[in-house]
Parts: sequence; C-alpha cells; structure tokens
Amino acid sequence: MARGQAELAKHGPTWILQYGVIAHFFKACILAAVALLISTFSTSTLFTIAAGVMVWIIGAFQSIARDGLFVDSFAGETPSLADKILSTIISLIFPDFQLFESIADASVRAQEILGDDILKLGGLTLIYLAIYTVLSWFVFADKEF
Amino acid sequence: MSFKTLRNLVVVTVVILGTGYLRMPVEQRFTEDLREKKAIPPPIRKEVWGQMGQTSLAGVLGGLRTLIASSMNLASQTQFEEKDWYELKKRYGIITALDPYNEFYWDHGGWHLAYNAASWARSNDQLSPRKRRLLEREFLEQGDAFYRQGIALNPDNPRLWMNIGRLWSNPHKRPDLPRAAKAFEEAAKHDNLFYQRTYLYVLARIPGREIEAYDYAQKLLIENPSRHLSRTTFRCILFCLATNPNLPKQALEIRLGELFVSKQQAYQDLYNFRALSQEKGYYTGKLDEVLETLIKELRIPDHLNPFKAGAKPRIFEKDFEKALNQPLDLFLKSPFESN
Repeated sequence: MARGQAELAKHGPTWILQYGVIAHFFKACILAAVALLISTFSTSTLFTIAAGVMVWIIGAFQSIARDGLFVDSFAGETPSLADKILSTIISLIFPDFQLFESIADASVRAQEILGDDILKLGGLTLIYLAIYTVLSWFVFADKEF
Repeated sequence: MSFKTLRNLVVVTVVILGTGYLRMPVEQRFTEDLREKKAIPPPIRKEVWGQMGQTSLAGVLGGLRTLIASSMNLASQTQFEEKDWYELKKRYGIITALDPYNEFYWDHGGWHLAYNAASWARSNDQLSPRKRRLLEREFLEQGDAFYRQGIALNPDNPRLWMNIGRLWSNPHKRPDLPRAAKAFEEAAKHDNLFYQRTYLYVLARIPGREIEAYDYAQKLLIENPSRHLSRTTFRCILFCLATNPNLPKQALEIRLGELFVSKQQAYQDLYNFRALSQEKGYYTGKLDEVLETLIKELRIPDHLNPFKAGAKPRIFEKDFEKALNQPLDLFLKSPFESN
C-alpha cells in the first residue's frame, strides 16, 4: 500500500516534473537563437520560420546520427561510409534536441533526474545560445540601415 | 555574392563546425550518462523505425514517447479483438521501443503472444492438428522471446522472469518444467520470499531434482523459517522431500511435529496436498505411507480416506472437525517457532 502511494506521489507535481518544463524552455531558447541566426541571412519571415522548423526536426534526429558514430547501433549494424559522412555533418551542424526531449519524457515517467543533469543541460543550452547569438551579432553588425 | 556575405558565410560555417566538433563528444557522454540512468531509452532499432507510422514518429520527435506508447497500447485492443496477432506483435514492438523501461508493455505484449495467440492457435478448428501445434509452439516461443527482450532492458525486474516461469509451468500450455525452473531461479535471486518458494515448488515437480529441491528448501528454512513455514504447501513439500530415500544419510530427518500443529492438522494438510500433487505432479515421497499411519492413529472415517473414497479436490477444516469429532492431538512444539 505504502509502495503504491509512493509510486502515485512520484507521478504528481514534483520537482522532477518541473525539470521537464525547464528542459522544454531550454529547447525553446535554443530554437529562438537559431531563428535569430537564420533571420540575419534570410530575406523573409516565412523562410526563417520554415528553416527554423527544419532545424528542429533534424535536431530531433541528431542524436541518432551521432549514436551511429560513437556506438554500435542496437541492431548491431555497422554504418556505411555514406552514412558516416551524413551523420558527421548532421552531428556537427545541428543541435541535439533529443537530449531535451528525453529529459522532459523522463520527468513525465517520474524517472530519477538529478539537479546535476539539469545543470549540465543548462550549461549545454548556454553554449548553444552563446554560439548562435555571437554569430548573429557578427553577421548583423555589418548590416546597413 | 559580395565579399562580406562570403566572409560571413565562411565564418558562420567554420564556427558552427568547430564548436560542433568540440561539443559532439560532450553531448555523447551526457547522452550515455543519461542512458545509464535509464532517463534516455536505448536507440530505436532500424526495423522498428520502418514500422512506425506518422503518429509514432511525431511522438518521437515531439518528446511524447510515453504518451504515444500508452495510446497505442489502448488501440492495440482492436488487433486483439480481430485476432490479428502479427500486427499486434508489430504494434507491441513499436510500443516497447517508445517506452522500453515500462514493464507493463513487456508483460502485456508477452501475454498477448504466449497466452492469447497461443490459445487461439491451439483451439483453431480450421487448422490441421499439426499446424495448430506448430503455430501454438511458435506463439509460445515468441511470447518467451518478448519477455526476454524486456528482461534485457529491465534486468532489475523479476516479474518478467516470473512470467516466463509461469508460462512454461502452466499445465494448460506445453509445460517445460526445467525451462520454467531456470526462469523462476532468476526471479528468486531478487530476494523475494514468494518467488523463492515458487522456484522450490517447480523444482519439486521435476523428476530427478528432488535432492536439489530438498537442499533449496533447507536453505529457505535457514534464511526465513517462520515466513516459509506459515505456508501449508511449503510445509507439505518440505515434509515429502525429507522422506526421499535417496537423500544423503546426514540429511536432517523432519518429523510431523516440526511442521504441523497437530496430527489432525497434519492429516488434513497432507490429504489436500496429495490431491494437489496429483494435479501438479509434486514429489510425494512416502506421503501415502504417512497418511495410512495417520488414518489408523486418528481412526479416520472412510469418506475422508483417499485410499477408500478416492481423493476429493480439497477438504476444509470444518469438514474435518465435524467428521473426526475428537480433541486435537497437539504436538509439543509449534512449527512456527524459529530456532
């Protein structure tokens, strides 16, 4: 009975659930920074939105591409050279949104997420924000009004 | 393209690639760290990617894996009702890929294959008997394999081992007791008294492994005597195993008084155990001899004598009290006292 109650309480509004909210917020920040960088190049709002959405979609698969470079896939297949080149390009260019999604998902499952993990995720977000914001500033500094 | 645009493009590309090169191992380490903590599920298998529909893919993208898994699990009721077992198996492959650390889906998927699909195959009149048997065996093995996939991802969870054990010890399926014992043994390693007793019970059903069963019962008795001895089946099995003439000479002799409160209680429990063992095939040792002795000592009426009236499924305490109508012949020592 006590175990059941504890299990139910774990799925309530706990700190771990807030970590999920924070992870989504971090992801939104990065996506905003990416959109900012794209907007310095793009000539229309629509292109910025479309390109931002593409980055979000590819970012969701980035970890799969990276996994192929670092570890054997679950099925035990070795990636081909073309797979490796494509995976490297995707891994280098796009941010890994799956990390953020997974943390949010784990918080929904009431899985043990440590504050340390959220700090690491926050650090990663800051790095992404710094890269994209500085690049946006660099490109935008030369614009004439 | 002007010089400034070209310069900007080169700088942006170089910086993104350079920082990407630096952050890639960091991200991978973080991912593996979270994967170890089971916060991140293992990579989805290539063939499962191919089977995923738009909804599942959207779930993977949007971080709603558990939610999609839950709704797919509910929707799989349709395949169950339509007896579309291959589609059902495919669905559970996707469900468990989306939420691999949820034991419920492994349990449920394995149950569909090993019980529902296998029973359907067994009772399908449209198939030839040979085809029925083959198909049933195929679904049983698929259910077993499904449980084992779940165990590989949830090694700390003994319930899936219990499911495998129950599957292969089920008399209404195709019992394979050594295989069941192996699974129960794995579950028993998780320090659960019920799982440990279940392992003992199945060992006591395998011809030729009675001594191993006796040794294991002794081990359980040393570890937690009062909890195990409070179970009638455990006491009866232990008593019967101890009457095995092939036990080594140094094996402890167990007297009725060490396991039962009174001779009447002993007779009632052993009588019921005899009926149970006829159904399940437990080792009975010298059970019949002991019962015959008790019948004489307690002057048991013929309708409660399994050798004259035939074994009834079970006799309850009140029936015994009414039939015997004699004071209890209490043993001096209570079997529930731990040494």
